[in-house]
Amino acid sequence: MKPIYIQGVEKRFGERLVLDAIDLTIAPGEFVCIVGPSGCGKSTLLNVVAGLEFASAGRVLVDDQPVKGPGPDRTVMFQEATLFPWLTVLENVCFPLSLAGVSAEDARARAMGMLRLVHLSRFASSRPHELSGGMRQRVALARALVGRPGVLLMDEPFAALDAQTRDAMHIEVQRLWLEFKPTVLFVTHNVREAVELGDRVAILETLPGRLKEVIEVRLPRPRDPNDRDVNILSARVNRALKDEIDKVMALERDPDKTGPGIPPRGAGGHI
Amino acid sequence: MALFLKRVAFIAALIALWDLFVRFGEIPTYVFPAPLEVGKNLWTNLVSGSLPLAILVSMKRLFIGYGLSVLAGVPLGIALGRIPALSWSVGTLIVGLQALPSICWLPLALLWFGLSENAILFVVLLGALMSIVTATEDAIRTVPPNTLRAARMMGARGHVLYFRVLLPAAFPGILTGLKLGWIFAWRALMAGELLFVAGGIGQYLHTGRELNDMAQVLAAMVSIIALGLAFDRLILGRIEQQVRARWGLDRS
Repeated sequence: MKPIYIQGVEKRFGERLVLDAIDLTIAPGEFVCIVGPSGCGKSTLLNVVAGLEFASAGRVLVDDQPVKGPGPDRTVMFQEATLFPWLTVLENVCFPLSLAGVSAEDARARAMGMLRLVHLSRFASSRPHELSGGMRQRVALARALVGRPGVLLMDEPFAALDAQTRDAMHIEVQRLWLEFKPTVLFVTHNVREAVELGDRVAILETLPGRLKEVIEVRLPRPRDPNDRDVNILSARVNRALKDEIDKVMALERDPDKTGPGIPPRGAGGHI
Repeated sequence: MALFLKRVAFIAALIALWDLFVRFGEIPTYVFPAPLEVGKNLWTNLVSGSLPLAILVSMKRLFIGYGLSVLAGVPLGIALGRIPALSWSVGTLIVGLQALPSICWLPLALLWFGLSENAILFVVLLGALMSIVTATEDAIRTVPPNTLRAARMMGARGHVLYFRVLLPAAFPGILTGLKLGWIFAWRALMAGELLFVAGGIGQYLHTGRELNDMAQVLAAMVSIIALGLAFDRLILGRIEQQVRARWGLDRS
């Protein structure tokens, strides 16, 4: 587990300011979720921490080392499992170990152990395309954790799964996180998911992306998505997000208007 | 096996139809010979060794020309898929050249290389090159970006990224290009051998034409079809099928 320091991170795409002065410190082993409307730059922020994109200003430190590019000390999970179709499930989980120079025998043993933890050891010699979407994400989780990274970055990893599978994955992720305790940055647009999983939930404003509010979730784990306190907190996050979602909706109705100064919904008589 | 038998039955029916057509259509033999005559010509030339020799000569040219094309085309396609500056410059040229049948290069090739084996190899190489390059470029470019990002996060870079991630990910697409390239190489070779007579199946066909022996012309055509089909079914098609099954591409 390693701390992440996001210090004054700014990101521009040409003229457009996507992220504006983001400051966020994530403690070692902490689970932080980032929520925000689509297009607010939350995935961009995750990519900057990953080293897949570079900040236009500011910097990211992981364990006091500035992030200069992608590297195996931080692993990522995307919405798609991104498993390699030409390898078996076991070979996929072995892949990061073999790149790290672990001997084949060792790698197999460790990968097998990880697959047992996600209850997929029976499918070790299957091909990724033979598994369901949820199973593929469990393999991706095993692959992300097999090298014991200090940091796990997750970009809407369960957004493409059905509701039941997603609930099962939430339990799985919490269990594995408690076991390995990586520092987690989890991007999602699903507020309840954020409250269920996170120690803290960071809400991003949009146009440009700014940190609006960070809400602490002091609830015992494992959490139940139908728990009363989870719902109360979700409602609070949703209220904070509502203005931002309205901003996006107004922009979609009238794409010529950009930035601040967009009239609130229902105001004015323009058609 | 049942499918194989059905295919054989289909071809047999086709030949029977051809025979009936010639027999009862009162078509002169020198215009459209019956299958039996074509078979006789094939048999005679097979036994005399002239057809096997022609096939050998053609195959040698094909393997060398096509092999060079693969060696040049795949790396070039990868470079085009990875380097934007090459894509809009050389890439445009390649697409343009794809419209040009490679046999059009023959006059220049004869001038540059003389009446030599190299001239025809050049034509075969160019025949296959464009489709191999374009398919490889496309295959490289359509590798899902997150697959590469995931690989880079796991520490893959440089030649490890290329050989253990990018190439396997693009392999099914590259294979499609190789298959297409094979067909184009084959066509270029036949065109070349027809025009630039120096052994090979093309010359076998050409001789038939000069002697007004349509049975030989048809026999040459039949051997070209048979060889093309055999390669497609027995080698390239089989590899492609296995790769597609392994990569899980036939499910969706």
